[in-house]
Amino acid sequence: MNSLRSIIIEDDLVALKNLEILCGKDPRVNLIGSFGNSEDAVDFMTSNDVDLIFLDVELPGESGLDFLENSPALPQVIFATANKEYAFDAFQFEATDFLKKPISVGKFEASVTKAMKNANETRTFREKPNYIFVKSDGRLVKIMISDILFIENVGDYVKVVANTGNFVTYNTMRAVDEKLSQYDFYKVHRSFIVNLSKVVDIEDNSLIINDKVIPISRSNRQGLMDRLNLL
Amino acid sequence: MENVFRFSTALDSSVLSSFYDGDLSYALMMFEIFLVEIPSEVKTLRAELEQENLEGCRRILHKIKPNFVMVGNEPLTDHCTKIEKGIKEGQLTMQIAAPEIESIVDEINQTLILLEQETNDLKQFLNQ
Repeated sequence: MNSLRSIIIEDDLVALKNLEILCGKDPRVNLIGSFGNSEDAVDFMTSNDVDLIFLDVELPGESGLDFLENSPALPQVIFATANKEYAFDAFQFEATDFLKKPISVGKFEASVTKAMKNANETRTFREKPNYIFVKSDGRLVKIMISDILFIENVGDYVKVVANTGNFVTYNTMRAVDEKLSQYDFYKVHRSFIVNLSKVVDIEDNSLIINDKVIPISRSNRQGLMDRLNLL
Repeated sequence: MENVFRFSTALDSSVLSSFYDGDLSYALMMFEIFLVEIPSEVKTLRAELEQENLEGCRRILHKIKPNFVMVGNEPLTDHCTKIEKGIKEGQLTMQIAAPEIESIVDEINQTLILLEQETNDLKQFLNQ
């Protein structure tokens, strides 16, 4: 049975424990992280696919509402809060559901049923999302895989060059390579990972994407040739 | 003799039975985490009160208030909600809020005593 990769953002340890127990009881929920603030959750989400967030509103630092405001494209969100006045905010942010604490088994299961239904309808499962999230300038930015041209290593950061703009994020080429290897991407040089579908020309030791000349290292050339759709 | 655990009548057993729906292991886990975490929240609440930081008190009340239902003291949740709301809406001055918060702290401490006994009883029952 498919399950929703879920995280909890909750600063009250009693409420957090309750949610963790409820997640553990429900086979439709695969809890992959618990966080006491939204900043740590954002960091986690830059390198992990998440289908569902259980979100408290009053949090230390950035509030749950600020988190939603600053991250326009997020997976499904279920509000988990002590004040019913936030129900209107949940509605405005198009949350999947609103749970008033304390959360009982029955209320939890009903919310997960809604999330599962949405996931089935919108295919937000882990099959292979056609997007990635990048943390850039303190925000989570959604980039469609098909818009990415190439990724360039810039010191401790990587620059994602896409049709929609350039996004610099703190990450390693290795992590990006692992993440994108399931798609039509190939690391042609220690500083470049390219979207193979965007390559327009290849010479001996370089290729061109969108007028940008990208070097191909000798050791990666054969691997690149193997990945290309050669006639 | 029927081997069924009954929650203490000092706590609201009907709320507990309804919330945990007979899952005593779940109840025990929640009681234990409550006993560990709430005393430090009470300490913080007292510190905020001593510093006359009403907003700080409101934040703690908001944070802890739903947990009292999970240990069978729903009226305490209602009391916290009332004071939190009063502070948020600017209806309560420190002078009015302080004795209310003191009374909440007393109620919490009473609940902790009852819950400690309840937790021991529950542990014994589950270990039978």
